[in-house]
Parts: sequence; C-alpha cells; structure tokens
Amino acid sequence: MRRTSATAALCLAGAMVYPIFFADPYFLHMAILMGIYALLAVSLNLLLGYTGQLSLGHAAFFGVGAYLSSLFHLHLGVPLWGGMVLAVCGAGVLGFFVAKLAFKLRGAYFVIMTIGIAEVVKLVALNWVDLTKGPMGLTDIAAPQLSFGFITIDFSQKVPYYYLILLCVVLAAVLQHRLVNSTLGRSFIAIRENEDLAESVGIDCYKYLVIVMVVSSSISGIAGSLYAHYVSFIDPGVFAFFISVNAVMMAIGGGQGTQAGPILGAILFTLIPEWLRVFGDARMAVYALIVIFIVIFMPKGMLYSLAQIIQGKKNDGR
Amino acid sequence: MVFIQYVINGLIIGGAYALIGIGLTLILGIMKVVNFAHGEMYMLGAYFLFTFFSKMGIYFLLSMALAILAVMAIGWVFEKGILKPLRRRSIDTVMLSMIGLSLFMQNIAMLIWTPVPESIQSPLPMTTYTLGGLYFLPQRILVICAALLLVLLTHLLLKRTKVGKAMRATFQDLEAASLMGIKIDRIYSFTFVLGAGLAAASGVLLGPIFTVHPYIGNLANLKAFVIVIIGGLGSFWGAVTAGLLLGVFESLGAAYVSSGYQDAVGFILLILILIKRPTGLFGKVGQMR
Repeated sequence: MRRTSATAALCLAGAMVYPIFFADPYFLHMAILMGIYALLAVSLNLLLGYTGQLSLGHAAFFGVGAYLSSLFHLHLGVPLWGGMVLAVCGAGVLGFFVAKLAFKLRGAYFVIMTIGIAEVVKLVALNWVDLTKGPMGLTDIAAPQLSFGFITIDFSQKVPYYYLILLCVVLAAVLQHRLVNSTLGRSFIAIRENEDLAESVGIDCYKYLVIVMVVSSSISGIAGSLYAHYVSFIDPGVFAFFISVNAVMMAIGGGQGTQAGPILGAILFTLIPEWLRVFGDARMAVYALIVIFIVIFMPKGMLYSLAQIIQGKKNDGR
Repeated sequence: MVFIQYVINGLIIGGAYALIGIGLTLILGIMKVVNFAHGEMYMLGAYFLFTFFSKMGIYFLLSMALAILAVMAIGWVFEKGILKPLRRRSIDTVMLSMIGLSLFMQNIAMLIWTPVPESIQSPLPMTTYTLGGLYFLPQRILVICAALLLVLLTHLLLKRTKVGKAMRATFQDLEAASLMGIKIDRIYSFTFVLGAGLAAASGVLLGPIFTVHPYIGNLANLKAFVIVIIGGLGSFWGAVTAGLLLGVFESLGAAYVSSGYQDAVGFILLILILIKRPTGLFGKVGQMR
C-alpha cells in the first residue's frame, strides 16, 4: 500500500514537471489527449473493471459532453465553466436513462443496447441541423479563462490546459480510489464476480449498476467537454463507434479492474497510433492487429502481463 | 396506395436484412460467438460483387455467386484461424477479438478499394413494371426473390438435412449433441461459413441498391444485431420476421418521419420492444444471458 502511494506520488510529480521538459507543442498536445482519454478510460473502468458490464456506447456520453458544453455557450451564452458543469450533468442524466433501460439486459444484449443508444444519439446530432449544424459541426468553441482579479489564466494556451486536464485526471483517479474502496465499490465487485450471489446477500444490483453508470457517464462527459474546448471544433465524429472501442481497449489493455491500469492504457493507446505512422495507410489495420493481440494474449492488461514476465510466472490468461 | 408502395419497398430491403439476421442468429445461437465481424462479411460481399462484376466484367449472376463463395472461404479461414483457438475463452474475449477483426477488415478494405464510395450498376433494365398502381424495379424484384429463395433453402437445410439436424441439436444442448457423436467443431465451422455466406448474400443483393464503402459493415452489423434481438436469440423465423419488420419500419420512418432518422428506426424499435419483452418477440425466457 505504501509503495503504491509512493509510486502514485512519483507519477504525479513526473506529470507536474512534464511541461518543463517537454515544452514542444506536439508533446503537450499528446499529453493533453492522453489526459482526455485517461478520463474516458477511467470512466469505462468503473463500469467494466469493477462491475463487469461492457459498454460500447461511451462515445455517446463523450459526445454529449462535448456538444452540450459547446452549445450552452454558443447558443445560450451560458458562461463557459457553467456550461461545462451543465454538460457533465447532461451526460450523467443521459447515463441514468441509458442505465435504467439497458440494465434490464446483460452480456451481449447489454452491449448491443449501449451501441444502439449511442447510434441514435449520433443520428440526432447529425440530423438536428438547426441546433448542431449537422455534419458541418460546431466551430469557434472558446477555451475557458480563469480570472483572479489581477491575474488571468488563459486556457487556450496548451500549458494551462495541460494542468487543467491533469487536475481532472487526478480528481477522477481519487474519485475512483474512494469509490472502489467504499462499501459501494465492494458491492460493485460482488456484482462483477457473481450477480445472483450479490443479489442474494441483499445488494440491489440494478440500483448499483445505475449508480455506477451515472458516475461513469459523467466522467465521460467531462472528457468530452474538455475535448471540445481544447480542439475548439467538433462534429458528429465525437460519437464515433471507434471512440467507444478505443476507450474499452484502453481500460482492458492497461488492466481493467485496477486503478492505474486505465491511465496506463490511455497513455499507451494514444502513443501506439502515433508510432504506427511508419506504416502509412496500413496504420489502422496494424492497430487492429495489436488490439486483437492484446485481447487474446493479455486479457488482464499489459500491467499484469508485465508483472508476470518480471516475476517469471507463466501467464495462463483467463 | 403510396403507403402500400412504401411497405413493399420495405419488405424488399427487409428480405435482405432477414438474410444477414439469420446468419448472425445462427452464429450467436449455436456458437455463442458475438460476431462483430458479421457486417464485414456483408461489406466484402458487396465489394467482391463490385470487383467481379463492375471491374472484371464477369456475368452478373455468376459474379454474385462467386462473391458469396469468396466470402464463405474467408469466413472459413477466420473460423479456423481465430475462432477455433478461442473456443474455450470467455464470450467477452471472443467478442472483443471480433471487434478487432472487424476494424482490421474495414481498414484492409480501405487499402484495397479506397475509402471512395463505389456504386454497382445493375445490368438489369431500369424500367419499372407497374402492377395495380405499384412500381417494381427489376433489381428489387431480384432482391426479394433471391432473399426468399435463400431463406427457404436455409430453412430446408436446417430442417431436412443431417447437418441441419446436428446444428439444431448443438443449439439445444451442446454436451448431449457431442455425446451423440456430433462433431461440434465441424458444426461450428459449418455454421460460421453458412452465416458468412448469408451476410455476403445480403451485401451482394443490396450492393447495387446502395453505395458501397468500407464502413457499410458497421451499420449492417448493428441492424443484424437488432434483428437477432427482436427476433429472439437463435430463432430462425424470428429473424426472418424481424428482418422484414425492420425493412418496413425503416421505409415508413423515412417516408413519414424523416429520412435522416431512417437508420435510427431499428434501434428505437429495439428499445421499445425490449422495454416490454426483454427476450425479443419470439424468444423464450431464459435465453437472455
């Protein structure tokens, strides 16, 4: 436990000084993307890693966070920070209804349901042209500012934005930590291990699954909102199925059901597509092969496999 | 009259949906594989038809048959190469592998055929036949006839042949079937190849009606899943009915609500049905998990 906190503190310290050593805009850009994906992966990890429910529709919450955050500001003139908070609430509310509906099902049916809902939300964003400008997307999404009377932090700059993202990732990690180590978290794990048994000892599985979905979708909403204000342009591509798949891969590749896993996964899966640029047009095909490889040979994640290799044990998979 | 025309148009597209739905329901029901690469078989079917017919100029119906056979061969390779080694792994692992495979095939298709949408010009005449005030295009007549024929053939295969009987036995009880001397591995391979062939047939039939691009598999796959869930897992006639139903509702939705939401109809239908009947229209309780 002590070693874990020491490692976490070391990683945080490393992340704090990162912009000093990597001031290059490209490295900052990558780090910001990693942070946004880390939020998404953490949110998915709560659901998949701790309650065992696989959602392939998290792009819906990511996209709703991005769109609402932009729309509140662009259309209604809500102050940026307020809009961001409202967007996160919106994603959470959507998560609530999705959970109410989809958790009547389990397994593959649940997965299809989440994809289906995400697809419907995407079609709304595509077709409600008056509001969302359809496929043209929303442009000129401003970055927030923070004013302390005499000093103003302008988050349109990469370095301040990096720290904003870092703050959010740390908060999400802390939330995850607190949640997992609470009675609630133990109920989640009980549901993952054996739902019938959990139900028999008095855990209201449906209720707990709805709770975890609301938390998870809100975090995804934060990721979406931060993404929108960072890139300042969004189109219905933020609802892409690929984003959902990527989030799942980050959670699994890093190590589902562990606290550091999804963050590690987010870092790796942001870097891998960059490294694969050497393959040119075949890049995504190679990426897909890596995805298959990880799913088959490292089902418990890279963290686990690495530990196994270091300890010299044979990885027997699952 | 216009209403009936919409319904008929929907039934025609729905016939092809039924094919892809049957393929998926067989694979999911018998092999317990959540096949996210099913839509890619549809995509490949359409692209092979494009290559054989539009590029190489092979006779249309022969191109169709060749395209289906080629996809079946690819299905066989995937079954032996990926699914067989994963037989004992969890359903989630297999599902995620299939998602990876689907991503892989989409990108390979993009490399081979470029992301530019292609259209297949059907050699059938573009003149419409009128019958009692209703309009019929030859290509669409071909679609519904071929779809009905294939549904019927698959039905006969399942009901009348030995392999069909073995498939149904495997669906009902894997262990008992295996004790009776049924070679489960062979049944699995056969099921997957058959499913791939049906998806390809769907792609071959709809290819000349819609445009073809590397990502058409995504939506086709989701629709196939909608059909499977509405029809009830492993239910043959459930899949046929759900396929036709989906086609009709899409057609009506596009006509009377908004064409932009055509692709959402299936999901909305699914959501509404699942609220009332979580096992689908024709599914039995206890088939869900």
